[in-house]
Amino acid sequence: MTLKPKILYSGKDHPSLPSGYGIISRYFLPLLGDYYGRENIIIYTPVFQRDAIGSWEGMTVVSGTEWGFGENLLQEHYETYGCNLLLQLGDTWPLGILPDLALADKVLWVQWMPVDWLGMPKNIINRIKPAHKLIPFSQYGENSLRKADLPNVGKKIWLGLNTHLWRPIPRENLPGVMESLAFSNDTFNILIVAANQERKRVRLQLEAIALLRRTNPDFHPRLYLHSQINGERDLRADMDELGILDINVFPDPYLITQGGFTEEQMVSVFNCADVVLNVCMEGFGYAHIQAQACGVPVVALSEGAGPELVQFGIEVPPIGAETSPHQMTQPIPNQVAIAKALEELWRKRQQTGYPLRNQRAVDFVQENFSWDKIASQWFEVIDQCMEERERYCMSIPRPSEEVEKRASEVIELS
Amino acid sequence: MRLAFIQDLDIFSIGGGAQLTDRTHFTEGLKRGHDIELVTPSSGGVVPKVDGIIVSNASAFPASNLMGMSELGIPIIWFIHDYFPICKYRLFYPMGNSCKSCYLKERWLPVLKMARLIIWLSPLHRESWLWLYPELEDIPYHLAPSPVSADLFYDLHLERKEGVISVEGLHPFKGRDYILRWIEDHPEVKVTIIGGNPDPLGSLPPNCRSIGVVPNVDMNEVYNQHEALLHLPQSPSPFDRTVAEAFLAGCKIIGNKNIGALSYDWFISCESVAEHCKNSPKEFWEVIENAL
Repeated sequence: MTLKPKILYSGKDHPSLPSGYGIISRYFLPLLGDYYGRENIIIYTPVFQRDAIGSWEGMTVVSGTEWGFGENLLQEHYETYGCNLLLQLGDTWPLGILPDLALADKVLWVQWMPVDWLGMPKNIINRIKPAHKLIPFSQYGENSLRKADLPNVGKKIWLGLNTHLWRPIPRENLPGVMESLAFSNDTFNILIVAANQERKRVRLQLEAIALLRRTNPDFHPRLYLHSQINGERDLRADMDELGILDINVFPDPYLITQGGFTEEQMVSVFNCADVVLNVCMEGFGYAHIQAQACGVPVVALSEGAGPELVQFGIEVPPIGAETSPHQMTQPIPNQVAIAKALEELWRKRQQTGYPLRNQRAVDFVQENFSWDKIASQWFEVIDQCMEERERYCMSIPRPSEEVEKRASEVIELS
Repeated sequence: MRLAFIQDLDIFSIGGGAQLTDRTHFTEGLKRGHDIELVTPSSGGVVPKVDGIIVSNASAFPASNLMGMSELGIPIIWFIHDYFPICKYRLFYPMGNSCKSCYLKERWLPVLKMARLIIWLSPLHRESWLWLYPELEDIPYHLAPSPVSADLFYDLHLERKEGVISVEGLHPFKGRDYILRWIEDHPEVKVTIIGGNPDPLGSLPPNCRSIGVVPNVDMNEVYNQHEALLHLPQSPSPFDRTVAEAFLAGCKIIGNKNIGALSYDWFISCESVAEHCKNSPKEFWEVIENAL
């Protein structure tokens, strides 16, 4: 490779934020910086993060305005810092400016993206067609994009995990966490992690827990729902209506407003669970691999990224589908099937008398999701993009030294 | 002979240098009794049954079409005006190391290697092509200077009241940066710039004025008002007919080694330039007739 990348990385949140996007950037960017030179990585934190302007871990940080997803400043940042590749992480349905910039060859756009819908909406195809490369979060995503005959689809690259941190911890070693979650060895301890309550189908999953509890007097569940009490839904009201308010512990609302718990705390929380419920359409679904990193089983949806990620757990089918205002059709999970899956795991737990744990799932995460492994896949993609950029002469190159020398030597003829 | 002349553009409409050149050669071919059909994208791109094909500017015609015709045994003569199809920028050719891995080579080299004859516009033009495609070295070639007519461009022996003229010099590939630097370095010289300006809001030095496009028929008079032509292309130009026009019109040339016209050893006097440019259409057809 002769052309060195200068990357504008638009990953939504600042790497210091404890959000999903923030955590991805925190682990991914230093590896990218070490490989290509930290001076060659410009971190764009588009929304509400003007205080973050400056640098982070030796990489320049630039910010956006309150407008949209920060697309309005993409081109200016790209040109100001002399970038030759835009690596953008996240959803594609809101994009409005970037596709036109890419069409006009103003940016070389590579998108690392979730595909969390059924089929492929035309609306989205039109938005992502101008990208130089689409790298989906999952094999499901890759298959969907390829089925739509998009010519710019690369191999999927899963999201990474800090596999040094996410490991099994015996719950005996975590008595304080067990107590704070009101979990015990005699209860069936359910964990739901949901920043987006509607997309995560929290209500349907709560209905499933309520159903199982109503129909099995011996079923003594405890629930820790890691979400805002009043987010997209009033969760307290939901649980009260379903008669499961008494089994639940909410996170400290103050802590949630400050970005929630640290990753270390979340590792402990996952290790205390008997099952992680994550039954929704996922483009990736961090909960899938976080649970399995601790050896904990997952109940997941049989559509989307769940089936390829869940080695230890139960898949449940959808009961229908609905189309969002952005033309994305998403499956609706079947509460009865979720309740059955929970029952199956609960009965196994009853039989063994121990928390259900699986070493194969732990190994699967360790082998496939380390950030070193994910980053090395990215280096291949970026190197290839640079090669293509040069091969297809995607920006007007400077003349060679020889040609410039000839241009600057003035001769006169009379 | 029955020939097809493939061109992207309608050479009989008013146009740039390539159209002027092609129009002259095409007309000369007709005068010599050849039955020549002009094939443009708007004519449907159908090539009739012919004794040979002359490929001029032809970016609208896919490589596979030309390859197919070569494979049918139809002789193909390439009349090359710029750096199509070896460089996508055509008029700007960086000649850098990255050119060596350009995707266009895989597509076009096999087609170009089937050429019966290649006609370039100057020694520099051929040399620059061969730098990237040395595989074409052994293919018969001819160098055809642009057929600039000394009947149209000549010294009117008027008083030259203006200083220096630059034609299309505000385009980056025509050496905008070099031109502006030269103007800044010579504040005592008044400079007139003719042609388009892709950056109309950009500031120009105070000793310079941009007067826009001037029709080619008026250019002899304009050249004759100026002492010299300033022409500093950024990358190797195929010929640059403006250099020949201005020289015939009595202008001194302030140029550089990227000018194709100046790579001819006969580009030293008005007389020899007039003679070679005048003979260009005749020689153009003689080599084609011999090749076919």
